[in-house]
Amino acid sequence: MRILLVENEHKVAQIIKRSLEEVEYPTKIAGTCSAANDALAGSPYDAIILDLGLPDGDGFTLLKEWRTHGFTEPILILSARDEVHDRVRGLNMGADDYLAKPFSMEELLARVRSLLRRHVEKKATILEHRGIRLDLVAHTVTLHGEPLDLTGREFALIEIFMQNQGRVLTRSLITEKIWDSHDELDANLLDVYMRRLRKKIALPDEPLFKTIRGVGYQMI
Amino acid sequence: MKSLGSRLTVWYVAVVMVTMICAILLGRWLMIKEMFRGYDVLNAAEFQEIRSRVEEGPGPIPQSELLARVAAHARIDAALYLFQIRDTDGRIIFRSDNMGASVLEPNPPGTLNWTTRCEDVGPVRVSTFTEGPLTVQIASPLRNVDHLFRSYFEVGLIVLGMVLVMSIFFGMWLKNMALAPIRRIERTAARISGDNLGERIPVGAGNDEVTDLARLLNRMFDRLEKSFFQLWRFAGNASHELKTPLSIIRLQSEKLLMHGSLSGAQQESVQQQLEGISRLTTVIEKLLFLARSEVGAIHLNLKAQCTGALIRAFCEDASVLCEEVKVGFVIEKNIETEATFDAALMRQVLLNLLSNALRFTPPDGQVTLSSWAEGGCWWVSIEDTGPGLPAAVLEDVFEPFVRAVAPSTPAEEGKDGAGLGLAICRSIMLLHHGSIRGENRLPGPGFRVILGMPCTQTRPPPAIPRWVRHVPEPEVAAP
Repeated sequence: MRILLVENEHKVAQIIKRSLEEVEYPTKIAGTCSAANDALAGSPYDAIILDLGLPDGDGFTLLKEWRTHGFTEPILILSARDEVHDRVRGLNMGADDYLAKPFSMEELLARVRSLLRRHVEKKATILEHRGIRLDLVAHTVTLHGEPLDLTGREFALIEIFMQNQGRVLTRSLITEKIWDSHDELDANLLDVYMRRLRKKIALPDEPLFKTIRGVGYQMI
Repeated sequence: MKSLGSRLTVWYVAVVMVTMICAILLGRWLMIKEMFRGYDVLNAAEFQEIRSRVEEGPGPIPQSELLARVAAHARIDAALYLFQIRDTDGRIIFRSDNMGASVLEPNPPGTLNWTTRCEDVGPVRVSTFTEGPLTVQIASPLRNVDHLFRSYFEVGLIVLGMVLVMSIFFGMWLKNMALAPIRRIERTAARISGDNLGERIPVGAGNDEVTDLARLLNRMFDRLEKSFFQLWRFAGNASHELKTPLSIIRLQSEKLLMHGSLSGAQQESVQQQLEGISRLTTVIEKLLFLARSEVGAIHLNLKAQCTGALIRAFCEDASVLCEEVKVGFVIEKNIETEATFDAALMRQVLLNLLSNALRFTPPDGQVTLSSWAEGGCWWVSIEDTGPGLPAAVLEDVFEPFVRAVAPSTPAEEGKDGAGLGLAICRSIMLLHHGSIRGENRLPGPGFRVILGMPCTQTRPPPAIPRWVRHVPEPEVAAP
């Protein structure tokens, strides 16, 4: 799994590279558009992290060029521009995900993992974890065979966790998936839903969800 | 009169008409003057004629013979002149027969020729001559002159009517000619907005007032474009310049937390640091949102859609949020209509208003939501049973950095986004050509916010109906 990181801020790039390499993703840094083109022409990558503000051009232009020339690598856009418009533009131009600065490393890792997985795995329709069984087709949840009464939002929430078992999910990643927003009010709303989920799915031994303060939640 | 064009036409017509009336009156005055002068000359010629007739023959003539001669002459010219002679004492010693019973008054002092009325004859022009001891008055009747002036006025009125019609026609043509360049300016200026600030008003070849105005406006658009560009650049740069260092701080702090061997107290500090960064990011995002919406740089994902779906989806979350703080949530009504809006932004508005309401509502209180269509607009009201707001704050509660009350705890300080939530609600509503208003509930206590935006079918400017002030207490509870 090799990752190309197109980022001109040296410090940010170094921190990302180190973190990605800690989880066994060898990373190559390209600081400019031309360096990125050279790197991509030289060897294949499994995913690209692309910053929009580059010294010799715009990330959007680069993205468009790559997609028109048939490069199908999954691309995650990293940008200080956090407007729905930019987000939509990036995704329309063929990016696979969009993350606004300042971001949390956990979130970046989660998104990169999800990008890589999207290209290899096929989505399962039945998810199981610690006695919880989630049927995505029938839209039912059971705990040790007993059906659980979950609302639409609660179901969507548990589905995200079941898809990412054991991983830390940041608040903004979850709220973006459920409400298409990462407003701080939605983060509060998420906390409320998490409390309700915890009450509804009470496991006898270790609690199902762990709160990672300042970051998000993890299903264990 | 609303338009400058119609004012110009009316002024033009008025000026033409006044000029025309003045010309007609002046013409009449000049005609009278000229005519009187003619009559005076005729009267004088007649006097000379009488005189020569009377003085025919040798030696002095007795008065009776003289009067007889005058009478004979007067009979010949009876159709044209009236004659009257006074002696030195002012006694009338001769009047021509055609005068009937009427008498010519003596001339006013200082004038020899004047116009007066003669009882049996009508208006006359009188000239006075002195011959020895006698004062001779010769008068020309003005019957024909009266007739002439009546015709003159009739013709004048017809001409005035024609001039009126023609001046209205020409006035409108002139107005269109004069305002055409202004209309071009108006059309171009109306087209120029945040999206095409580079467009300019075409400046004609000449060097008149209109081209001056066009140049002036173009210079103004230059300055506007420059400031817009600066603001754009500011929004973009601020975003990048603030968020990149924030990213570094955040990533480093996380690294410390994940991999470092920090003591409990140190971990706590780093946690607080991370929370501070989150708050800072939120405030930066909100400020940038406000700045962008000020310059119209927010791109709305507008879709004509049913309002009921948005309200239902929102209410699912709203009831959960209310339940959490033990506040009742009631949908008083959700009457569906169709409006054109950005669903994600409108949800932000509703969520902001709800969280604001929940901050002020005591446990066991109630938040009520209504959505309905009225007068071509879609209205949503969210009201709480909190203490309401002081009148002084009510006015500018939607201004940035205005807090309804001072935050009581540091935790709360972070939650309300530095008093930007309601300002953002207002800017989102303005982006939708809508309105937002806050008021205290009557009968209170409680605060109510009313949102309005035009329905899709009709788009008149929304105004909050007066009766909304007196919405009755909710009776139906249907969460």
